[in-house]
Amino acid sequence: MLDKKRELLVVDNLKMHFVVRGEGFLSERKYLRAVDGISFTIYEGEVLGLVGESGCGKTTTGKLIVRLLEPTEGKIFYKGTDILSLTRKQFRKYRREIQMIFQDPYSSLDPRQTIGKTIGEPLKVNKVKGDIDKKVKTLMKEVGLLEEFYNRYPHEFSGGQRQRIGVARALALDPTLIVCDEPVSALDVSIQAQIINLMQDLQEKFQLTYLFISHDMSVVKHMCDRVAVMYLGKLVELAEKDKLFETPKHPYTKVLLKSIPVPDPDKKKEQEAAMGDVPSSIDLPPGCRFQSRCKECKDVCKFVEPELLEIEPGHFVRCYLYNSK
Amino acid sequence: MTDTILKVRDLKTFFQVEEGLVVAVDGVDFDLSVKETLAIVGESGSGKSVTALSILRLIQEPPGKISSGEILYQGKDLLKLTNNAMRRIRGNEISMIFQEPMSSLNPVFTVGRQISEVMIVHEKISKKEAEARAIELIKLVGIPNPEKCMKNYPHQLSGGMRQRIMIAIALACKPKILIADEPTTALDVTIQSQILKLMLDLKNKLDTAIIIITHDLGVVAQLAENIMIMYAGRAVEFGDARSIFKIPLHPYTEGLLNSIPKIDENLKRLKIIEGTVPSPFDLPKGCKFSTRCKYIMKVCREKEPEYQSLKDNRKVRCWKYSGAEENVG
Repeated sequence: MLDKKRELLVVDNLKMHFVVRGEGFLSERKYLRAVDGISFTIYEGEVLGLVGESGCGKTTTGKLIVRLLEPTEGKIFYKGTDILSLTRKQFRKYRREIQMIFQDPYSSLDPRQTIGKTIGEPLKVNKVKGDIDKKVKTLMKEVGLLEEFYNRYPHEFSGGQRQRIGVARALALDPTLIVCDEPVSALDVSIQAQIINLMQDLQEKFQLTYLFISHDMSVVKHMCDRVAVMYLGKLVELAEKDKLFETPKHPYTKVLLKSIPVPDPDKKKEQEAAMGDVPSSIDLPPGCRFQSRCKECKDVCKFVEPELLEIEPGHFVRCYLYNSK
Repeated sequence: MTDTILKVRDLKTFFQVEEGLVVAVDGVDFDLSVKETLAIVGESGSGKSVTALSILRLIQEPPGKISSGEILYQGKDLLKLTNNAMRRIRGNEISMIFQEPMSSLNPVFTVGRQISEVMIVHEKISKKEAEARAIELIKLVGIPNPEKCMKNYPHQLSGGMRQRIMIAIALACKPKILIADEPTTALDVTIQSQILKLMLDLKNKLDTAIIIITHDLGVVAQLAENIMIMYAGRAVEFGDARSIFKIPLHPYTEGLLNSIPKIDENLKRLKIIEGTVPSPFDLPKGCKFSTRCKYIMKVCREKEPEYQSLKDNRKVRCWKYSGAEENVG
């Protein structure tokens, strides 16, 4: 059972506020609350999906975990250590175990480095002993790249192959946790499937844990064990995959699941869309963040934000509909 | 059969680039009837967008050139029209929604001006009249407070709103054909479903025929009546949506349908199409899909199959079906 599993990463009330300037000189400072107090746990060996629409803060969350950004507030514990309190130097040891695969296979590779060098760089930086060339070639084989590619440059590769390079680079230091930020969304359909299968194989082989960030619910359903849904910087629902897809609780999760076009002409559904646009994360309304698009919006939703409550074991929802008080 | 409004015959478009000649579209045939929704499906580089741009003669020349073929719109060959005559059709009778709502609107003009411009140019109406109609259109695409929206610049709108404005511009002159090139790819799912619903509603209201270009098979299944699948510049399969999803004929279509994770199915592993799309400079000699096909035969490597018609108005470009019309249901 999941609850007996060991906690690998615990995120506690994490916040990331970016300063933005208002209109005009001398205007008041405003904050874009990209991530606004999220807490969750990743267990060893699982795939946790993090879904939400653009601008909801899912990529920012990923970057915070690998410390590419320093949060405004909050704590991240990796195997019990508070990694945010460490200095950069102390953190390096942990950073080896937490790697990231980026969304865009075109801009995340250095165009002036051969792929051998790109994959080998983390090994060099971390002063790994042994034959680096040999290790790089093993890694390349692992992700389905030919050894001959060693001296080639990124522009010579297709999107799918570049993403394989990105995967190999993330694997170089034998990580435990990999933050995958939309690893397949920039790829063509037939290539997507190849990369998804590759990632699943690698997970099994090296017993990896993934935080899988995506906006594609079908891919998330295929890959993940548990799924967290984000809306405007907050988690609105978190549950085991089957529970979330079969009995979604939060109105936003329901809308999200209903909006997915099913690839079957016999299952045409009346497109039941959430009308209205997403409010800006600079000027958030008081109360629930989803109120402007919610069909079940009550008076209380407009004033006080609901808490994230565990309504049954392992199923968390942030909505007054499930607030028994 | 219903009236055919657009007939494309043996369309060929190439681009002369530094590295050599790229034949982006090579032999595309299809018919579009009044009020029909046709989806053109394919991966990047398959020539689907170039097909659309060729229909509107928006291929920049050089480096591009439509080298042969016919595009018959209500019987007239668009490729033989003068530039002026073409301009009268483009944006008026045939209009297009482009892929990126961020970059296809002009950032220095207000939304209202960009919508009214189309009508002022094509219908020679006054500015005032055009503005009144623009407000109607903004209302039609479901944007609240249209008067305020008229005065907005594109950067003040969200992605979904910008895409609606694109649709409003495309529909301004009540076109007979609307070409939508990946209209929802840049959008979030909840916004995507709003836009798709909007397109369907408008189609029913205005009797427009739609060509939707996409790689998202979910969108295709929800929207299209007929589907054309493209691979490496060629049309490889055509048929009505239901039959294609049920019994895909071409091995590529079959692979494509198998490779997508489905929300209502639990599979341990995805079935994949091996390999990658061949480079346009280095296409295989015979069938262009032969390098990735699991049913490959000797003939596939040597000769390219014809695009042949089968029964039930289906078409396929594959050796598996040559001389075997009766075996296909």
